[in-house]
Amino acid sequence: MNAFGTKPGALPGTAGRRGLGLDFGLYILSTAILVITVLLPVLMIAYNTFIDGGRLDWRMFVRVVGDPGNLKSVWNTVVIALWVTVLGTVLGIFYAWLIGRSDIPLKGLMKSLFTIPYMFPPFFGAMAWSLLLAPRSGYINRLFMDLTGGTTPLFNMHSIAGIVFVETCYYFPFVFLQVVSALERMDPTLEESARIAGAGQWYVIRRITLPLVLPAIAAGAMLILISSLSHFGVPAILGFSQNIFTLPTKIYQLIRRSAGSFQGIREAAALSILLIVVVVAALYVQKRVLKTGRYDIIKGKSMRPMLIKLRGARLPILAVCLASLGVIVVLPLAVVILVGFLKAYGLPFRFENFTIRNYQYVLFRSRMVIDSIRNSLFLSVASGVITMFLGVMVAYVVVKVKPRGKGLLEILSLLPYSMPGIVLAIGVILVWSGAFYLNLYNTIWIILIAYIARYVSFAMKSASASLEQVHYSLEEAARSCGATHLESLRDVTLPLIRPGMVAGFFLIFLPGMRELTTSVLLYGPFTRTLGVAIYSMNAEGNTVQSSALATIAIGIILAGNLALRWVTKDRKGA
Amino acid sequence: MRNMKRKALFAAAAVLALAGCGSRSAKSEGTAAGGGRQSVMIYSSLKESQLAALKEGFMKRHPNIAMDFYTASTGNVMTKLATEQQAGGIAADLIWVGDPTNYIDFKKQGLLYAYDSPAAADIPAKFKDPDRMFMSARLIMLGFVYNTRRLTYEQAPKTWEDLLNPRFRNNIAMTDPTSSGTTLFTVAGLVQNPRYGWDFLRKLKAHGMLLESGSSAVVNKVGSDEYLVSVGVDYIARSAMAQGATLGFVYPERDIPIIESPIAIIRNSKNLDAAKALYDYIISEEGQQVLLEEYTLPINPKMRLDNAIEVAEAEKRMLPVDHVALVTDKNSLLEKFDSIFK
Repeated sequence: MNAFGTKPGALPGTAGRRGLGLDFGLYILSTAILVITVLLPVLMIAYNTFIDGGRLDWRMFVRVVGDPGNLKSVWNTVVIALWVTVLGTVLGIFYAWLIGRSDIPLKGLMKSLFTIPYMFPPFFGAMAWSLLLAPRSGYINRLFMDLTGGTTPLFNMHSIAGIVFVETCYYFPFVFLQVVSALERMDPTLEESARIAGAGQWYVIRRITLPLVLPAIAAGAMLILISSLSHFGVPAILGFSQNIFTLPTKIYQLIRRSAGSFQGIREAAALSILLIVVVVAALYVQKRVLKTGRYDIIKGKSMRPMLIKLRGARLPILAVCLASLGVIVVLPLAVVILVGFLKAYGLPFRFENFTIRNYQYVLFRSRMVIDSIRNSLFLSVASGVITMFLGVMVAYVVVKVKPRGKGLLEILSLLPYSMPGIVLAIGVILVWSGAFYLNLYNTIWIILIAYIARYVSFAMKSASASLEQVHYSLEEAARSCGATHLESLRDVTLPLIRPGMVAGFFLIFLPGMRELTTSVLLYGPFTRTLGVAIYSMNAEGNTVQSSALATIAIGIILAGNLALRWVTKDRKGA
Repeated sequence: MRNMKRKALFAAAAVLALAGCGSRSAKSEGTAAGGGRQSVMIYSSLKESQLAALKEGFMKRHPNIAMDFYTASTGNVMTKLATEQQAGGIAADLIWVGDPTNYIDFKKQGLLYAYDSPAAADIPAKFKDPDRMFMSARLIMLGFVYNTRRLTYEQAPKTWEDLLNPRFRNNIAMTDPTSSGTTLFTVAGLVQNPRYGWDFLRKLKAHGMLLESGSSAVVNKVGSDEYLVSVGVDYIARSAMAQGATLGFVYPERDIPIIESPIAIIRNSKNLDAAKALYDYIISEEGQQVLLEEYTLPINPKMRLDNAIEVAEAEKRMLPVDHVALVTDKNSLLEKFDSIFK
């Protein structure tokens, strides 16, 4: 394989010396960037929690952790996350099995509909479900009370159960997508041999299919757990009036309440450490669970699995699927769009109550909204481009150069993946508001830095996936033909991974457009983002205007997703 | 085909990036340019529509001054100010928030610029700080908001005690005083008053009073039937009514919280002339007329707002608030409030 007899990836001959310089430079550069953007915020949180004015101070941490209100919010966070994980996993597995293994019709349509919640921020769902099922004003509850003549609502969305419901609707696709793809990659002959040996349907599912997709389930469930533990928007919207706080919303409250005083930021940092501890504990549990079931029987090539006939249950199950899709996807979007057209919140949906005034207001009269759309576009494009190149650079160093310290680099680039956005925001505030001679607070740059740190894991994962497909021999061939290291990178490697880079850009651009958790702590007078604008309009009670703006955001997000599809389809076709 | 697609993508990305950059450079021009073009920045808890209307009127009168505003609840504006102060510079030239006690603090910290505006000649001295560090620029009153589809005027609460009517049990809300300056002022007035005191707030909590995070939320959510009644701000209720919400507003028979929302210039303002021009404009009849059209009670005694209470009449029924006590007790007040309500 290798003409020079060196190990793959090591650089042959004299041309290597210059190349080594470049590789070394890339290694140092990517480590430096990651240390500053990712590691420093975490260190600053720890430093500020335990050190006050140069002296060790445990008391503040103990007091904050022991505070009954804070303990209650830890409890809420864990309870909500566990329920969301359990329900989301069950829901995800059920639908994935239906689409991957049964003969249910309309599979393509359902598969794409199921990924819709994935596109929108969960706090849109919280807004929508609050409109539908707020205890007295929710449209469904009002209808119910009118029909029954009573004053008890059908369901109170402003509750722990409501928060669990909305988060489940938005997070079950994590498990669904993982399991569907595992089912598609799984060798179906294993199931068939069990069946031939006389096993019944349930037995096959329980003893063959489920264990085989267990790693996929665990990975998806873990994503749900981490996302829910660090989630801000839904409990912030549904929990506030009922005094239901989770750790992220409590941290937000503390920062707001402290009126910017340093003591408040320190207390928020202490709570951040608590949140990190909870997340790390969850990660540890997942590691233990995953160890118990590792199966390597998933084959790379795809084979047509035998589909299970649902027979008489086919249509009822289809009806259940479509109904649940209607509830999860269509209903919330529809109500947000309709309310955006209402003259005033609370009026019935009748023609004379509709107006386009809210759209005129948010699009043309509101300085804040115009700013926020521009800011979000700038931030998503800029962080998309910068982070994508950073991700390629880190992935190149980790996958191709393999220096001795690559483990550190890998950990640093994957750390933000499990770091709650609100914790990252606190760390970024501590680093970039004057602690190191540079004050970016209130500017758009502090948000950009936070976005880069937040999304570098996405970019790194997608870039290393593309890079691993580019064999060493290609670059080596270029080098042995006399190309310099830089040329071989520029003319061989980069063009080969370009489609992956474009897809990676969209993987950052799209979540960037709807980001709320991090920017809600970092925005300044002119640097509100789209998510912050919608959230704060809604929180202040300007429901119809915030719904109108959310409708506009839905349009932007849909357009972005169509663009992503267009790009990736091109890649597959080529 | 692929090439075209790639070009289209690059073009789209370039346009997006330019849109972002364009906005930034335009902004920095506004603040950096000296000489002919000036700029002024106001931080305020007014509604965005009110500030937008003021900006339109002001820039018509002063085409060479670019006015910018940042609007958020009083609590958020205060947070922003405190952070900026720590970071070494307040970006605002004027401050206009709901809670007058903040200005006593500002004055003590030496943050304010003394300015006796010639435009304020008509306005009674009681609305002005003796050192002219700040003056009231609008009046905000709180009262009871109800939904006209659910309650008649006769059934709506008229006094603070009426809120405890069993009919409103678990169906009533107010704004969180942590975020709303006007509600903080009201809560302070109530607990300082022997007629109500903390006992009254405990009763409200036991009665099922819920908290909302925004002053508009308590009003709009009565319109949507979420609550039967709420303690709300008059101009927010009036503007919701004007948009078609089925709301009614009652001024309390006695103890009306009246907040003289003051305006002040920041001492280290880099745009002092422009700041004075905006100050004068807001106090002037023209500026107050803009506010009036946005349903806000003007400070100028000559001006009248339809469907609003006479200022002189309201003052007779005013809820007295000890400003100095509020300033010193603010944190313990909020903590005690939280211990009851949260």
